[in-house]
Amino acid sequence: MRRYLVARLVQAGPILIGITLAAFVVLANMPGGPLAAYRADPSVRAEDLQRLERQLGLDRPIYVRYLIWLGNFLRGDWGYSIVTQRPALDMIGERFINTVYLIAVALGLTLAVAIPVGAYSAVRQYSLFDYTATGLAFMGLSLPTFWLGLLVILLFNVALRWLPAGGMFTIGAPFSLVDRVRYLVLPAATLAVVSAGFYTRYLRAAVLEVLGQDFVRTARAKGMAARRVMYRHVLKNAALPFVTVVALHLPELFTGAVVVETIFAWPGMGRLFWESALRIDYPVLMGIMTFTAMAVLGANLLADLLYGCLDPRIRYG
Amino acid sequence: MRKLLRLTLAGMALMVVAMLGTGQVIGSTPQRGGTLRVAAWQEPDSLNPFLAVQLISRIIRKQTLEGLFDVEPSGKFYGVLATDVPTIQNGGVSADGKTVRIRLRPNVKWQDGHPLTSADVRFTWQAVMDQANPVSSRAGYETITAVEIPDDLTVILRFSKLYAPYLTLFGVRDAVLPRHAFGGTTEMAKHPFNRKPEGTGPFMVEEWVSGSHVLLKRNPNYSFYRQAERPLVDQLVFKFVPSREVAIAQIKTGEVEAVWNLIEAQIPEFEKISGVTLQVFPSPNLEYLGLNLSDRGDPSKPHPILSDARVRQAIALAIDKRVIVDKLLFGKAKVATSPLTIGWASDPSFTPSPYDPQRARALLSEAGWAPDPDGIRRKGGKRLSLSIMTTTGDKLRISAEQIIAEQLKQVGIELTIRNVPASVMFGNWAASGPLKRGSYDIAMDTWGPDVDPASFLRILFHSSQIPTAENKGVGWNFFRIKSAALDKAIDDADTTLDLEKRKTMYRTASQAILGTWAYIPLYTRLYVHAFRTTAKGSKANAWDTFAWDAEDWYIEGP
Repeated sequence: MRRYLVARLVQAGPILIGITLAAFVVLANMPGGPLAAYRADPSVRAEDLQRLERQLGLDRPIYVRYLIWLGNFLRGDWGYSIVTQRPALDMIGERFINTVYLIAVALGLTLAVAIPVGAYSAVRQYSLFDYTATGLAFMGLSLPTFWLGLLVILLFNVALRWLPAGGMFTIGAPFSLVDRVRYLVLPAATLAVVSAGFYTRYLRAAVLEVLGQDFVRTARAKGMAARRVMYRHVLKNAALPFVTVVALHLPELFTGAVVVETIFAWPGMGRLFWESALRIDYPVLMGIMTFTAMAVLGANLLADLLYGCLDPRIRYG
Repeated sequence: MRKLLRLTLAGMALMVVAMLGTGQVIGSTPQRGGTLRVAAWQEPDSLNPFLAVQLISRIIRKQTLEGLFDVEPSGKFYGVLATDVPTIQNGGVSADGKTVRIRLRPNVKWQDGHPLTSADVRFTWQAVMDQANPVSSRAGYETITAVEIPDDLTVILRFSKLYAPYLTLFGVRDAVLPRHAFGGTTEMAKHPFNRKPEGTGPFMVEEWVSGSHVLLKRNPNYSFYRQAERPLVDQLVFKFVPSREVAIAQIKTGEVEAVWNLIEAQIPEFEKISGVTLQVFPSPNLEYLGLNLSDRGDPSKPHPILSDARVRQAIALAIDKRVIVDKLLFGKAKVATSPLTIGWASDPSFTPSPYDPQRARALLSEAGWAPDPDGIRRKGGKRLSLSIMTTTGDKLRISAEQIIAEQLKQVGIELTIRNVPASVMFGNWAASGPLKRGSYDIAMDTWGPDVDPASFLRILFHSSQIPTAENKGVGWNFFRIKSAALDKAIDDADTTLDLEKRKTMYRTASQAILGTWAYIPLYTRLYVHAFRTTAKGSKANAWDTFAWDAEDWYIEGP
């Protein structure tokens, strides 16, 4: 087990470096560059720009800049934002917590809906409930988050005035749980709608597959209660592929959060990525991309390990 | 009829607002207390005036950091931390213009109680010139050879050569920094001050939560030299929202009290919202067409079509700017006349180029472009076909392009629209920016002068500012105008501090620019800010940033 883990982590190294290299080359060649905002300001003269390029090290060739970045990164120094001159790690860290908070709630909501609905749909296949659930799931799946986000703002904020349109809490007010929840509802629900549709469909398929297995028929034949069959045999077996899918899709929630955070003014990592992309602030962008790449690799590993936990037949040696 | 009446009344109300330049209802009395929230769809890069380049950064840090001088709505300078404005007439400036003596206002305290002294001004200059600091611009500060401080309240600036916009230093663009807050160092790149500056202004930065807001609180040590008992509100919040649309939604629902920098096309939408008052006034910026005088492929050669002044003039005469203003801007903007539309250097006697398609057709025929059955003129088998470029994603601009293309078609010119993202359009030489490289025919853009038009006119129109491979693409004379008379007028205006003389030179420069027909003014841009009707006290100032007078703002109680 330990050997397997070490091997996987060693494999991840070159993949990560490859990803950072590709990301760096793309960022370094983006039109405009990190000094675009300075160029638009007429009080910044050509000599000022040249001085700034030198001071920020932007006058060096790309490969030198990349090697410097990589060297620092491996030593734990994520560099400084070109825009704010603050450590990129600090900027990402303070936003990361907010993103995790949003995603955790969204995922909780998603699973709370997807698991019972998906399982029940499978058991009552082709029932009215199944058709309704399928219809709604496809609707949720096909709604783009940016559109859904704007729609719920229009409805619950502009028209009904029930919930705030953006932010995490009322600025200047003392901490209150109710206030936090009010700000959380719309973004978390928007994120959840799309993934709930997906997971419902997935769990339904997984449960259906298990329901057709011989051991289920056997369990029923020997007179086991339907409820017990469902919990002991069907759900447990259907959970296997489902857990994999959820784990593999965790990083995708981060990417979905870019849009949702931007629409709902959520001070998370996704919005930081979006703002940094507009300013081509490459130390911050590199930090977030590398971090996301690590999250993807980590989620893959996690899925494999969970598989082993849930299925005693699978062992890593 | 009632609708018409309502529209007329709304229009009149707006005009009154625009003319008074204030959302203030006459007769209401200012009151203290409360929180005023402003929606901003950008987050500042830094609150250090010398490191930041974003406008929102300037708006926020101006609440905390003050400068020596600033500019009134009329365009006149006034002393902020300085007691008065030094000029040659009052003896503050030496006859050769190279020595400027400034008196600081006595008894001004930084927010922590430290007194403001001349040493702070000298420290500011030293910090700007520190090699380690990534200062956005050293323009003007480099010209200073020494900052002398004979006593606590006197500053003497010694310049190596005359610097005409000397009153913009230490204030209009930036500020005076507190020496004591930096703890003996002039290095400021990564200093905590950049996120939490300490100043002499009406508000203090209480917190800056990334991605969320900046919260400012009343500064108890504010010296309120202009009016007693300022600021009126206890707290000022700048709330970061992802887009203008979100900002608009939030002012509608009352989640914020103010939104800055709306666009003209949004005015009619806002007139329908109850509880919101608009502040509309002319800005110094104007929308214009820039015509490329050089060949698209090779800037050393003249443009095959646009190098002929008759063709350029025909384009100007064929565009009915009134239609753009009336149709797209709902008549709120004005047809622009010259590069300097407002301010001390502008000359109101300029008139817009007339709409005269007849004369345009005659000029084109004269230039050898003969009408063709397909509607587009030809010369020796070559079609009179040009492209126009502006930034993508701006509906107003795209509509304007379509109107212009339609109007040019009427005189036999084909205009195709080829828009690119702003980052591409304004890309530098190395990134092959089309303006820098001259790989465009006609560009549509907005630009305008600061309170001192010196750098604006130079950077856009002086022949030394034509981007080339040799100068690594310096400057923004992307029209590639080369005019000795124009260069001389711009240069001459930099050799005197006499505003009347400079005004005459800038008039000559404006005339020369319009005479090239390479710069076609379309319309003046407006500044549009929105306030909840309960948020009062704001005055318009085209020369200073939004919230320049936030100390006078107040919330009207129930």
